Order: sequence, then C-alpha cells, then structure tokens
Amino acid sequence: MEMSTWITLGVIALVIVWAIAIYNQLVSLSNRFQNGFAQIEVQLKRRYDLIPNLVETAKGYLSHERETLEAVILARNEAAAALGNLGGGDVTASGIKNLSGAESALAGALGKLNVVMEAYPDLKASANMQQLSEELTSTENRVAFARQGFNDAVMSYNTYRQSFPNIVIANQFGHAEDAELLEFEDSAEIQAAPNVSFS
Amino acid sequence: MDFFREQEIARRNTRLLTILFIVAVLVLIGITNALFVGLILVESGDGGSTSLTTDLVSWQQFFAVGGAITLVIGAVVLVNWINFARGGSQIAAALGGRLVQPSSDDPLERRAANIVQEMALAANMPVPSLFVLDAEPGINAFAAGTSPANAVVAVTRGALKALNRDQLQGVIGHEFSHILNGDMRLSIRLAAMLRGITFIGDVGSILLHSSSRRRRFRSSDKNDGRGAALAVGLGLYLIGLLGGLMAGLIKSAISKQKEYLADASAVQFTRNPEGIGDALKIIGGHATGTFVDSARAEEMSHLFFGQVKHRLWSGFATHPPIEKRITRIDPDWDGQFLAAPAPEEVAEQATPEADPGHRAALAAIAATATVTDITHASSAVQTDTAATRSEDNLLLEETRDPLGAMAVVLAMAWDPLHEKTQWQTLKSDTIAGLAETTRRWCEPLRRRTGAQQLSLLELCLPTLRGLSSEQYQVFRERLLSWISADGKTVLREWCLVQMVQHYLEPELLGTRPQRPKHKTLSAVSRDLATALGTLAYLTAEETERAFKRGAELLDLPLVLPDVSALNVSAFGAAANNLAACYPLLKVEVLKAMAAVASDDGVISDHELTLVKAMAAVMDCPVPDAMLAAHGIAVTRGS
Repeated sequence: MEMSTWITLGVIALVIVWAIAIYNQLVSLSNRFQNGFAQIEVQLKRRYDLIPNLVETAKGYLSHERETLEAVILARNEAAAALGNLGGGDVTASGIKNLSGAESALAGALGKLNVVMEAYPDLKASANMQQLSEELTSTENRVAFARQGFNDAVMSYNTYRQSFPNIVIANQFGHAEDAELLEFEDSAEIQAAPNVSFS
Repeated sequence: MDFFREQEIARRNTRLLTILFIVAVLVLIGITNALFVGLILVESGDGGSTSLTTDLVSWQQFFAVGGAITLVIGAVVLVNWINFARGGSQIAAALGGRLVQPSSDDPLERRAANIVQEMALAANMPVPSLFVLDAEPGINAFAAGTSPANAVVAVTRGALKALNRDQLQGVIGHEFSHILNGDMRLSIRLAAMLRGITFIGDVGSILLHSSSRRRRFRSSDKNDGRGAALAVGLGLYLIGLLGGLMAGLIKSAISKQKEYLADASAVQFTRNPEGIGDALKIIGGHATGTFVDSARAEEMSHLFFGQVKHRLWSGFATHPPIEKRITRIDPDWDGQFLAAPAPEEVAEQATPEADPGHRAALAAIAATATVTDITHASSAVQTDTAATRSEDNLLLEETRDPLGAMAVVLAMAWDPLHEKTQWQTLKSDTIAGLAETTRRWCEPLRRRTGAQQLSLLELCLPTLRGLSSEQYQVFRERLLSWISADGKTVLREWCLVQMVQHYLEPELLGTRPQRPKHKTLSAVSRDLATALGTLAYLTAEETERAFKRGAELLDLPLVLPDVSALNVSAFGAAANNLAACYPLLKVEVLKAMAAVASDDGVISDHELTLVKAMAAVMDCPVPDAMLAAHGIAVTRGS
C-alpha cells in the first residue's frame, strides 16, 4: 500500500516534470521565431535608412535620372510606412501583405536604379558609392537571411509542436496553432516561368 | 547536395566515433590498472600462489589501485580540459589575430564584418566578433570559443583578398557551423582525454628510466621487483604510445566528420553550394593553400577551415582532402581548381579608397582644429597649419597602434605639477617604450581642446580592445596611478577612467553589466538630482533654469542640490546607481542630461565629456544620434 502510493506519486511527478519540459521547449522555440521576425524588421529598417544615402550620393551624377531616383524614394517611404504599421507588435496577415507589396515595389525601383547606374562609370567607381553598394548588398542579404532564419525557426517550432506526445501538451497550454511561414504576395509570380518573347 | 541528409550522416558518424573514442580511453585505463595490480602482486612476493585468499585480496587491491589510477588520470584530463577551454578572443589573439571593428575603414574587412552579421542571422545566433590574421597569406579561417557567447570567427588576410563575397560567405558559414555545433567544446574534451592517455606513456617512460638507473647502482637488489617495474614501465610506455596513436586516429576521424558537417551547414546557411565549393576550388589552386605560419597554429589546427600544415600521411590530418570535400558539395566537379582573381584587381579594390574612415577621422580632427585655429588666431597665437596637420597624422597613427593608444590615453591624464610621481610609476615598466611614447604626446595633447581629446580617446578605445587581459590590467593600473598622482580625482579624470573601463572591461576582463534594478525613475530621483545638478553647475549661468529643464523632461519634482553636496565621488555614486535602471529609462536619463547640457544653446567640451562618460557607465552608447536630436551637432566626420 505504502509502496504503491509512493510509486504512483513518483509517476505523477515524473509526468509533470516531463510536461513542464515540453512546455518550456515550446516557449523557447516560439520565442526564437518571434525574435526571427523582429530581426526581419530590424534589417528592413536598416535598408530604408540606407536608401536616402544612396540616392543622395547618386544625385550628383544622375541629374538626368530624377524620375528613377524619385521612384526609389517614394517606394522606400511606402515600404517604411507599411513596416511602421506593423511595428506596433500586432502582426496581422493583412499588414504583412501590405509590407510585402511595398517591398516588391521597392525592389523593382532599386533594380531600375542599378541598371541606370551601370551607365555611369564615374558613379560606380566613386569610393562612397562602392561602400554604399557593399552596405546595400549586405542589407539585401540580411533581409533574405533573416527571412530564411525566421522560416527555419518556424519550421522547427511546428515540427516540435506537431510530433506526438508534444501535441497533447501544446494543445492544452496555448500552443494550439501552427506558426505561419513568411510568404510573399507575389509568390505566384515568382513561381510562374518568365515570359520571354523575341519578337 | 541534400544538406540536411549530409548533416545527419556526419552527426551520426561523429556520435559513433566519439563513443568509440571514449571506450578506447576506458579500455586503456583498464589495462593500466591491470598492469599496476600485476606489479603489486609480484612485489608482494606471492605471484605464484593461486589460492582463494590471494584472489580475494587481489580483487580488493585491484579496485583500490584502479580507483587511484583512474583518479590520477582523471585529474590530468581535467587540468588539460580547463587549460584548453579558453575564450575565443584569447585564442585569436594568441594566433596573431586583430579584432575588426564594425566601423572598420578597410573595405575588405567591412565586407567580412557584414558577412559575419548575415551568417548570424541565417544561423539564428548571436553575432561573434571577427578577427583578421594580418600576417597570413594562405586562405584559411577559424572559429574559436567554447560557447556561442564567447565565440569568435577569424579569417586570414589571404582569404579576404583571394575570395569573392559569395565564397567568403561560404567559408564563414562553415565556421558558424563549428560554433553552433559546439565543435570546439568537443575537440577540447577529446584533446584533454588524449593527454590523459599520453600521460600514461609519460609515467611508463619515467618508470623505465628510473628502474634502469636503479639497476646500475644496486645490482644485488631483489631481482623480481625490479624486473616487474621494468616490465610495467615498458607496458605503460607501450599503452601510451599505441593507445595515443589509436586515440589520435579516432580523434582526427571525428575532426574530419565535423568538417563535412560544417561544409553541409555552410550550404544550409547560404543556400548557395557554389560559394563554398568555389572557395575550396580556389584553395586547391592557390600557391600557399590553407597553410598558416603562426607558431601556435598547429595546436589549434582542428579549428581551421583547411589543413594548417602539410602532413605526410592523411591519417592524422584534421581535415579531409580538399578534393573529397569538393565532390561532396559538387558531385559533378570536373577536377579543375580555380585560379584566384588577378592580384591587380584585388589591389585596385584595396588601395584607392582603403582609408575612408581614416580620412573621416582626419577630417573630424581637422574640423575641430580649424575651430581652434580661429580662436588661436584671434589670440595671436599663430599655429603653423602644416605642422599641426602632420602632428594630426602622427596622432592618428598612434591611436591605431596599441602602444600608441595607451600612450595617448596616459598623456591625457598628464599633470605637469605632479609629473615626477607620474613618471615614477612608468619607471622600470613591463611595457617597453610606453614611457617614451607617452612623454612625446604629453605636451601636444595639452594644447588640444577637450572635444579633440574626446574624439582621440574614442579612436584609441577600439585599438585598446586588441590588448590581452594581462596587458590591459597593467595599463589600467598605470592609468589609475597616474590619475591619483595628485591625491585627488577631478571630474575630467573620472570621465576618462570610466570611459576606458566601461568600454574595455566587458570584453577584456569579462565583467558583466549590472543587473537592472530600478523600474521607475522616481526610485533614483536623488541620483538624478545629483547628476543633473552637477551638469547644471557646469553650464555656469542659469544653473536653476537648466536644471529645471531636465527635471521637466523627466516629469519629476527634482530639487537642485546645494553646490557643496556635489563632488566627483557623489557624481560617481549617482552614475553607478543610474546604471542599474532598466534600459529604456537610461535613454530618458541621457536625454535629460543632454537637455540640461544644451540649455544655454551650446554644449561645452566639459559637458560633452560628462554626458559621454555617463553613457559609458550606463552601457548605453548611443549619444551621438540623440544629441543630434537635441539640435547639438557633434563635431565628427561623417
């Protein structure tokens, strides 16, 4: 009697400890991907901060290309505003959609600027411009890597949450939903083969 | 390349090999125990008897002796373990590495620093510091550190020059895998255990020597004991030799698996197999390959990206052959190595704009110098501009050299009245040349304005980060004795010491910032009054109004303390208390300080130094942008 009571108590204690361990792991994984999202924001901000410098440097050489420069600044401001709306900590699906829309507009404008700059060897050779373009390359990479890191973290959270005994605990204690991967509004466009015509 | 699968295979192989290694070590210790027990049995004289009682005794002896031997070997392993487990920056410094500042002026270093940050994002890891091995022409890199918190990444100058952005990214991604997977920790443990085995061999060879010597002196001694000792010595020696050989082989096999794992992880982080693949192909075609000259490189060989020294036999190599690594990443490889980019292209990249930061700093000094030039001109003290220019250059050069930086900081604390005591402390100094260099700069620095001294100090601090912790401790001791030479500490000196300490000690001595204690500003209202009050009295006129402005900004009913209550030690104590505020409150405090300082429209050198020192004490180094937000232009290059 005594013995069996002890054993029962021991088993219950073990189960509780085990459940706590799973719960804590869930919390740490979920914090990790949330931090991953914050990193994307940080990197996007960094990019928006750099763009005015880029435009300022290019201005001296690109007096004939005002439209291109203005398009970049406009796209930058819209993207920054979209990010600002997200910044309140309330990450909604529509907000992310807005942001990725503005982001792809900005990427388009920057791409155009890059093509234009090819035509101005002076500009490309300027030390300031080289440093800026290294910073921009790095920022583009960081945005991409932050997204990739976020998605990797979401994947490991979801895998952990969905595997067997964990899902019982997860459903009971506030981890009932899968985290969402970051997707892009233009993913249909990306996936479609490019349409090239030679006529 | 299916990098997740490759990682899985490498991890499994590592696990198996590690278990094999541990079993081998345990077996070797077991054999050693058996040998010793055999010796004791023979020594006790009844080696021939096989009765039940002797068996019992021998079992007890076996466990007692075995326990003792295992303990001794365990202690040897532990000592080595602790000895090897050093923080990453110490190892990098020992290999001749130099810390790269995020604001480095060399475009190649800047690029590498950017890549490190990118990889940290991809690997979901804190950003490690980056070191450059300036003297190494080979293409190599390493990661060191026992945990992600103290990890560093280092690359050779050759790698910076010969690899393009994608390739360097692959190499650095590879190093990140070593950090993330705790490879350094594992290899430290293996190396410590290996030392345990070779220790057995050392004991064996000592026994061999001593017993052969004994024979020479006392030939009429008991014969079996000596013979047994000789046999045991020989046995131990063989265990150490063969066991060490075997364990060494397993260790290098583990190291090779870790390299494959790291290559696969580099592909995972960069999602670009070409980057690391091409880097390996360039290394294969590079004249100096991955070899590293530094004398200490060999003992750290397992950390590096590629083989450090040439090996006759690949069994003990820490890295798989480069061809094998390439084919794992790129199965369709045609066997052709790539040529490194032409040297003139590299030179073109490196030289013309090599020094934008240097120029910026020069411009900053020049800007402040022009201000002083004007004031000097008005007081009819004409300075020869050409002379000051070259002095500027010399000063800037000094700030980039560790010895020079120490000298410049000391020279800032120079006190002509108590000069004798100060020079006394530098006499018979362990740091060669410090006294002479300091002596050269004392006078020139005295002529500089506070703002110029401040920007020079800020240039010195990153350089001083490259000191070892022992060097830093010596330097700090000198600095403190210089400052206390006149028996008192003035506010300016306090600021100097605080900035040096708070900037350098977290890195060099591993001091941790205070735990945040105060959640509201009203909890520290007395300290706030002291800090703002000191600053308000410094503004000379309108003390009351300036103080009030700061208090209003904080929305606290602060009372301006009496001037007699304000001194350096009160200010220091207040600053320390304020440093224990929660991070967001610190920004408020600094804003209030900036508001008080700028109340009269200008911010004097004294005020700027004080605000900066406060920011340093609070580990809140963002004052420039904030001061700018208050309409204060901080004189500095862009």
